[in-house]
Amino acid sequence: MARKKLETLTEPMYYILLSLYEEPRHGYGIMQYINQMTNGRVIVGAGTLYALLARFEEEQLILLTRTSEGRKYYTLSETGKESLLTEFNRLNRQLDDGAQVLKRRSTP
Amino acid sequence: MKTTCRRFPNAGLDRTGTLRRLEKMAQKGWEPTRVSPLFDLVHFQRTTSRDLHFSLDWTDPERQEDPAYIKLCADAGWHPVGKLGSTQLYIAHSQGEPIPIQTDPMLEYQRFYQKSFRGLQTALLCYLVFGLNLFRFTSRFSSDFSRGGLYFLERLFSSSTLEPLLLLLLPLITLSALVGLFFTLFQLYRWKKAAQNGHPFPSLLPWQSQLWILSNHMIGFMFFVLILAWLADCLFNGISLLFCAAVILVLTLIASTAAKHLPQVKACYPFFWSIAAFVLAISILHYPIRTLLPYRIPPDTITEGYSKYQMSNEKPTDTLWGSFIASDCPGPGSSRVFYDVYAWSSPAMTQRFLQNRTREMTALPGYSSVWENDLGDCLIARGNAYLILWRLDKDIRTSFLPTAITWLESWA
Repeated sequence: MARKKLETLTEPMYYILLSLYEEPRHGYGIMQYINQMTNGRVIVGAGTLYALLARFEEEQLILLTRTSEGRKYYTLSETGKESLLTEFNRLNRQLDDGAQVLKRRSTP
Repeated sequence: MKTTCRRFPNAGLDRTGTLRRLEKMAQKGWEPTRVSPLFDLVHFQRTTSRDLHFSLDWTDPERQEDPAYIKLCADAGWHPVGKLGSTQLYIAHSQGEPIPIQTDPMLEYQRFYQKSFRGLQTALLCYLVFGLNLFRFTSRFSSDFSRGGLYFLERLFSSSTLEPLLLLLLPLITLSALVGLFFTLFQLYRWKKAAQNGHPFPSLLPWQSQLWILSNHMIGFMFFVLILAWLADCLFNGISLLFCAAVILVLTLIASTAAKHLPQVKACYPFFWSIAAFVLAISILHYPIRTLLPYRIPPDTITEGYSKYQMSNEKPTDTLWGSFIASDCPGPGSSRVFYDVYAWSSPAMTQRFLQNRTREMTALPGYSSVWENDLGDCLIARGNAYLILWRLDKDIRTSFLPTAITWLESWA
């Protein structure tokens, strides 16, 4: 039986895909990008990142573009972009739903 | 440059304790430089740096890590020192706290299964087979243990052979191996549960960690003594404990010296080959060496050239040489009597036998004298050769001597 594809993304997964949206990056570049973007709120360790990149590559969400000085550079594939947008929309819907309920509760 | 080394056993199952020890060493000004995988030895050198951080990451002990992974860790500040069992030791030199290598407990658990579990499975299987085998072996001596500790201690200290030592070590090692096996499985179960809830690997308390290390050292030591004692007993059977202790001491010194100077597993091969060559040489040369030893009594003509035989109502054959404990033969009043037959005996050994509450029995035709001690063991002299028969099954009350003598005579 084929392994089930990633349907929802965890926070580190989301940020990894996001970091590859604009340009190809290598592993440490991704780590730095996430750290800067989230002001250190989301931390992805080297081992965790490596495991997730391998999984994304297997699921063809990302593509290996080149290897330079032992570093592997990845870029987002079309499937990866779709997954990222789906997750973005899902999070937006969550945000909207939350805002709707919370605003209703806070207004007298 | 001042250097030192420490043993770090069970880095996988006691990662917190291992990291704690490494940090203590760093506080004292010691930085790990390399690992000798053979004995899990970490080598340190003096450092002035106080900003050292350590991490242990699961790895496949048999295979090289992906260079891209190593590079990624290096970019993140983690540099590999060496493999400690099924983990890779990393060091980071940074003023702040570096980002941990693993930040997702479930992914870390998966990495363990991908990288290290196969090796652990093999180890667990070996433990189990080893434990079962030892229990099977030690069950032969159940009557010795059932007679109580004092009797056993008396055997241990009065015997000239290494048999009681082996009897003492075997159950201890078996028990330790099985306790270690169940503890490992329990830890893995705890970890799986913790990882499913997003928690890291469960850590041991400092005292548990100390106990774990101590027990590991003790098992290692017992195992080492057992193997060497066994080897010495097989090769130099009948020679005093002092001689065996000297052999063990020399081999221990060789092993510890080699371990300090062997950085990688491949470099250990010459050491293994040297040991193998040594054992082979002793196997071939032990008979002439033994003959040259002072006070050696020439062997009885019946058993010329052999130290032990299997007594099973059949003539002994060459192929039985080196069998550890002699087999059985029918004895009066019992279905099985165990003997350990020595074709010759050193004067020291004979003296110790005679001191052990021995009484002289009625002389038998062809034998100059016959003694039997309180433990039921017999010493028979014919000319200048002595035969010692250790009766290992102590529950048999009838003297087995006539049967044994008849059986011995039937060889001729």
